[in-house]
Amino acid sequence: MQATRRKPGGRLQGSFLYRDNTVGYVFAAPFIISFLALTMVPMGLSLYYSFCTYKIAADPVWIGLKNYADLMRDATFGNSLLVTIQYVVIGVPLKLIFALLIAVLLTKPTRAQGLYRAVYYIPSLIGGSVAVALVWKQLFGSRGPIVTLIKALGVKGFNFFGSTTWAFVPLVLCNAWQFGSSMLIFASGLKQISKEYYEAAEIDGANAVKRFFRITLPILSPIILFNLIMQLISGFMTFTQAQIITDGGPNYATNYIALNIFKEGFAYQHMGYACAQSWIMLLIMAAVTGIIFKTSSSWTFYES
Amino acid sequence: MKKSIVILLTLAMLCTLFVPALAEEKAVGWNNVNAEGYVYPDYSGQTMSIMWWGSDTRAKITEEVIHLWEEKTGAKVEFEYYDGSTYWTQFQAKMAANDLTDVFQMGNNWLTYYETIEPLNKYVESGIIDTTAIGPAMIATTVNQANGDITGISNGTNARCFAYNPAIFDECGVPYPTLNWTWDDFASACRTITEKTGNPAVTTLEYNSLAYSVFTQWQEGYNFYTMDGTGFAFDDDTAPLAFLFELLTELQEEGAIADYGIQNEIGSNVEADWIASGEAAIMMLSSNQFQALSNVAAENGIELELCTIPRVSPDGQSGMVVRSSQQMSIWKGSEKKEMAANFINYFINSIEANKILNCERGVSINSDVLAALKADSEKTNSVTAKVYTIIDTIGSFADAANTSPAEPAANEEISDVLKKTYFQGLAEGKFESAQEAADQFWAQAQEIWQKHAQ
Amino acid sequence: MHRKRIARDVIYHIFVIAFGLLMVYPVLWMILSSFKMKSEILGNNAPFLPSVWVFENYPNGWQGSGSLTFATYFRNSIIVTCLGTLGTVLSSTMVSYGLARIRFIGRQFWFTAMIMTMLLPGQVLMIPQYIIWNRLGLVGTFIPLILPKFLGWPFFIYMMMQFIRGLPKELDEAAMIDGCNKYSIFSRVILPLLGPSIITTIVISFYWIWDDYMGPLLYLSKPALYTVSLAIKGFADAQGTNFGPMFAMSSLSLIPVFLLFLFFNRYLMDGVTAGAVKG
Repeated sequence: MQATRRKPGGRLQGSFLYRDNTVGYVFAAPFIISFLALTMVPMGLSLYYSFCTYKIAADPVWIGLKNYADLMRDATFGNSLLVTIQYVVIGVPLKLIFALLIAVLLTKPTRAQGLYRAVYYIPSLIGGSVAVALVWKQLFGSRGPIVTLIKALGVKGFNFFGSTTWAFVPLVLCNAWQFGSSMLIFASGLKQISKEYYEAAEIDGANAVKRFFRITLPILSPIILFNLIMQLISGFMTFTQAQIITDGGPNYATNYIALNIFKEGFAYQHMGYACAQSWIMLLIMAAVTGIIFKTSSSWTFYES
Repeated sequence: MKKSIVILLTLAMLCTLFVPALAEEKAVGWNNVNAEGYVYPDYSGQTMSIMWWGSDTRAKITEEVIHLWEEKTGAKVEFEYYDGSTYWTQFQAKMAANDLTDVFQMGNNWLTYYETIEPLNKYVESGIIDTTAIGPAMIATTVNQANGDITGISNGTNARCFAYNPAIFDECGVPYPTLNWTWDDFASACRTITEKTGNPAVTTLEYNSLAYSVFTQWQEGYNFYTMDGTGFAFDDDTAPLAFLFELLTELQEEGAIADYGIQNEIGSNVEADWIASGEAAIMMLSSNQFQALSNVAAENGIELELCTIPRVSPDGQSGMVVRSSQQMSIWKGSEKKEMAANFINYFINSIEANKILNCERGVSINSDVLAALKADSEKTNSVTAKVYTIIDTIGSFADAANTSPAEPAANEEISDVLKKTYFQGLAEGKFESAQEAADQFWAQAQEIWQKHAQ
Repeated sequence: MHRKRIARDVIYHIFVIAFGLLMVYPVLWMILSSFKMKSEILGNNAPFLPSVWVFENYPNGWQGSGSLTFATYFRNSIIVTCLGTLGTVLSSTMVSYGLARIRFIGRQFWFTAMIMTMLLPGQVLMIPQYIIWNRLGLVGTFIPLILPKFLGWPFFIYMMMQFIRGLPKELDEAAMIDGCNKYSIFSRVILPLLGPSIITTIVISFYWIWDDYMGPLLYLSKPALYTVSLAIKGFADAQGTNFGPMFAMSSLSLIPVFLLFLFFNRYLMDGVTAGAVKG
């Protein structure tokens, strides 16, 4: 039995169980089951609700495109989109560059490497806790070290949490500060890079910077693509930190789209409207990720 | 054969003896758990469920009371509790699945969840929920004024009021707030204190609640919402809001009220207010937050007092209200409604239970319970005594019952717009005049109201 | 030459340590706050070190809310997290292999579907998902938190796909010639090579499940099943927050995750001799 199965192209290999279609569905089965049972119905319902007036306490009432028409005129929603895009455009590259640089920095083989990496990973372990909110408010507060420094430079009356222009800065920094997961993923990607590439490059006389751009970046590109896509998604969905640190304020300056959706759906009782906002957001994100996937073939490098 | 006839006859006789007794009207107060020789109903083998929000302290004492009731009745009570901010997410999920707990804690937002709430009128009328020691004004704090439905029984009352630090007042030579101090008094106190101490006199004001108060103060018959929560009650007159805007703008520009940066840092975290560290002199809060605030202040060697909200004119309306801080309600879909009503009866009325609960949810509405707590010096410290006094004082104001007990469903959204208007006016100086700000708010509030009315 | 290298090493270490301290400052702040009185946690000029060390925060916090202590919550967290992590690793490796290496009809469709599921905010899916679990009668058990992890977590599926794509296809072809089929290629070729990414998955998913708050909030609905993250939220309240005990328990809750990280991180490190990028 064992012997026959091993024969390449043998009869059993061609049997139903070994066809690519079968193998593919066997391996993908867990996801397909969860998609059909746990995700598809809620997604479909949320799409249906987006065409309804829906308070959780009462049955949804079909109102056609009204929610979407209202969205076009909703200044709060428009503002939410804008501030979310601002957050993503500034926050995501910052976090990724930070994570990649630290990951590369900590590949230097020293005895303290494990300890260093642990220290840099710790911030990611306290997540969106109340402690983070309090520390951030003290650090960036009106009497905190950062504002004191800014005031010493001669800027009068400056503060973060009362300013619609600057309130996003503490949030972006908080997000960048919790770079641990991205760093770890980069680090395991770096570990996969074969040493021979570097040795060959060193013989060719390439310095560290050249090696980074010519070897590390290209080989790491699938992982960079992954981190980029995931950080974009989580950036668009940012919720907890804005909720606990600024509560969307001041004057909606950090009222990111997920926060707005939560407010509309649960506090204001417009679940249908919240669903419509989600689907607009989904379309935008699908377009952005679609573009990245399309262009990625020109800059990602797969081994095969 | 004969034996069974005898048994049947005796049974029949027994029935005739008891039926009139059962049909008889029960005496008023028959279900008073504090009465001597009170016999608890027997719920052996039965289970009911309850949920509430609050701190770990609340969880501890509530659980203790639940266990007491379980011992007395043989019932099993399943309970769950969450922190205040996420309670409503959990509540709405359960509501969507049509699977709520038999009893749940509810806030003044009960109009939003009206479909889930069983009116308690018949339980109050039949006396299962004994209200003989509860004043009608206290019952009214949880009644839908539009149709008379009792939506729950208040777990305790609270009131929005001011706290102040008398030491700073003394130091600056400013007289203490009186019961009918005015906004002018308030403004001059703030100005003097700020001038003398160099710190803002106030770092937390609940601007929205203030606006609602000023509407009531403005003129007799005015209110923000109508009593039944079905509309606004100020004749489209935005002057009260403009007045408040003007006052707050001036004080903030002078630095007597902290700028928005400081206010937002403190946020809803009352214990972080500068009054607790001895820098600010006045703050606004709910009376049931006073204990926690005082605890932090005491660590810094500061003793705080409570006072009323300033008025528009000294002999005018107070604009203050004694509200239900929260209530116990019964789920409409519950199959254990009578049992649930009996639990609420015990929870609200039992002296023994409330010595454990000790007004943590607000000042008890049962006069017997409150008297017993006040008499017990172990339960009443100087801080809780201050809370009892301010609630008594506000309750004695003629207009204290004139404010709608219910928050309309549109209230969340309207109050966010009010906050936005304040910010645009006070922090960004977006408006030419206070009146313009008030008018913009009013236009948007009406729009939101329309959206919810659809 | 030698001296220059030592100087460079010293600068490297000083920089990494200094910057690291800056990074962990907020965490140190939290841990030190767990030994403070409330007024020192909240004050404007709160000292970095407690002026009076308050150790009671730990026993007080551990007490939890009455009959249940944090022993229960930690036990629950460990059950949910360990099973959830196991499920994540098993399902994510499987699905990612299927999607990355097997050319089957509908592959592109399922990949797109997977990305799409990540684009809808959880806030609008929460209620319908809750209704499904409620109909199944599984609210009030650990199952809604654990079972989905055995059915694949898109983040980790996609991550592993990227790692699998980085493995040379020639390996598969060589194994085919040696008589392997598509199943044994997975177990004998791909799985062993996925070591670093599996460890990454363990470390990250363990922490995410440990820290998750919304899931336990919606589905556990019995204090005896509450997890640490849910119980910690119970210290916060509009009427006053027990900051000391809260930070004490938050600090304790870092320990299991941190230890796990230290344990697994060894496998992600390069040996001292075989450096990847030489400083």
